[in-house]
Amino acid sequence: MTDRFVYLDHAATTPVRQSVVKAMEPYFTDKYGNASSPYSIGRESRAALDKSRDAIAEGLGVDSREIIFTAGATESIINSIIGAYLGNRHRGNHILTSSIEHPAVHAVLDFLKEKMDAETELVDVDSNGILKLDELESKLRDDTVLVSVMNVNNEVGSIQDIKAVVGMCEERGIMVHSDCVQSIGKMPLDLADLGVDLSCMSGHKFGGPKGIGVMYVRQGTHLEPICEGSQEFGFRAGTENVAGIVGMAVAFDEAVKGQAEHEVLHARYKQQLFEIIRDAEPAAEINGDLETCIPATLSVWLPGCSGEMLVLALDRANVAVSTGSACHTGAIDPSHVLTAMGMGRLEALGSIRISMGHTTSQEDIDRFGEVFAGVYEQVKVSAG
Amino acid sequence: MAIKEVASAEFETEVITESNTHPVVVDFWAPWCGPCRMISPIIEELDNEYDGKMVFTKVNTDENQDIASRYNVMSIPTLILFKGGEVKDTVIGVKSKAALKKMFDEHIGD
Repeated sequence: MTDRFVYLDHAATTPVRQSVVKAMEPYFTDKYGNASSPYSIGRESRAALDKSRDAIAEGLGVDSREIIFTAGATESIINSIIGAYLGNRHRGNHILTSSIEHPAVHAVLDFLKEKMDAETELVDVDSNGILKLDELESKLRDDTVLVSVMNVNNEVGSIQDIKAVVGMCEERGIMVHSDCVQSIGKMPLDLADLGVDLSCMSGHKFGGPKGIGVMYVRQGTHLEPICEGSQEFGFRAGTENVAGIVGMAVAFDEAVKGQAEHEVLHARYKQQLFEIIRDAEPAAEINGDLETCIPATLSVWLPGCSGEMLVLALDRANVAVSTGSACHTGAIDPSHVLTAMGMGRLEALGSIRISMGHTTSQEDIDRFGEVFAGVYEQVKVSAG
Repeated sequence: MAIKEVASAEFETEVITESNTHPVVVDFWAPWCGPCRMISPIIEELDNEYDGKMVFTKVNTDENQDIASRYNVMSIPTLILFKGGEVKDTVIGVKSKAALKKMFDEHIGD
């Protein structure tokens, strides 16, 4: 008998829900019509698309016309940040973002800086990964056109006060983009209430398929279409991925409905996970703060061990977690999030991220508890 | 021939002083680093090819953190070329043998 596979990397991606697979299946077989075709199977696809859009819009507390389907959050980020910059270029070229954004945001800003004359600046976070709002306020300028701050951080789970960011920017006429990829199913989310102009999410982070996502564009937002076409209200050309959209809508509905229950479970599991780790390594510390992080994500520093080595050793024990490092251009870097929080290179490289989702159960935590101490001991020994 | 491992205590003589005679390349690595294992055979080949013209050494960043932080090594692998006791070039990440040769050649014989 093989050991139970314990998947604790839901911040990377999630298993697709069975209900999602079932809902998508007809759109690969009988219901293959192009949603722009006028005949019956085309209209059928169009109806499925509209229904999915309405359901997602309702769940986010916004209007259906504000929901644009894309191939995922990275594409949404590219279209919304470049589009917002071009649409407001006459007002200025200054953009602010947090130092802990997803690399997708930092990459787009680097592109704008190098190719399109933008001036970009980072705003620091504190040791818990929370944006320094006073620093943000002091960096806002007359020519600032956009501020991009993620709602929930993907590596440590810290939650930002987006309403406060919007409050600062709104009175100055500055647009706010907030990446909400890690929020769906993890915390309540009402985009209209947050007041952001632009946002994004990815289907595969909450039990939907990969390759489908949402770009939220608040009505009245001045956005230059980057991928102009007849579909998606002119903001995203290309035949719609009907199966993916239907699947994402089903996943979204279940994620939102299960959110409150999962939040309670994850908080309990998180406590147990940290106790298991502390038993094996009494000097282990949580990166961030339990109070200001979502319960689903736990980033831990284990002194005297390499996160990479621990992840590989846990994999051999059939447990999947991730590291506090990133592999870019053939080199391993300490996580930019952990270093932005003031951690040193070795602390960041000695950290792991454990993230839970809709399939995480007590059995997973128990199995983690059975193997962790033994695996950690091996890694510690071999690290010298 | 295996590349010489240099520890903190020997760094001054093996790298800094030696670089007054020949350029010295230091490969900053760690045992758990996948990309480091990719670049390591390339360094061994270059060590053979540049025999007598350039010296190749390795520093384990887990065991010699002081040296890694002195040269601000954040990512690994990082290759640093020393000449005349000073840092002359830095390469981060896995690069092709041809790209490394092109860079190293610029530091030979001038």
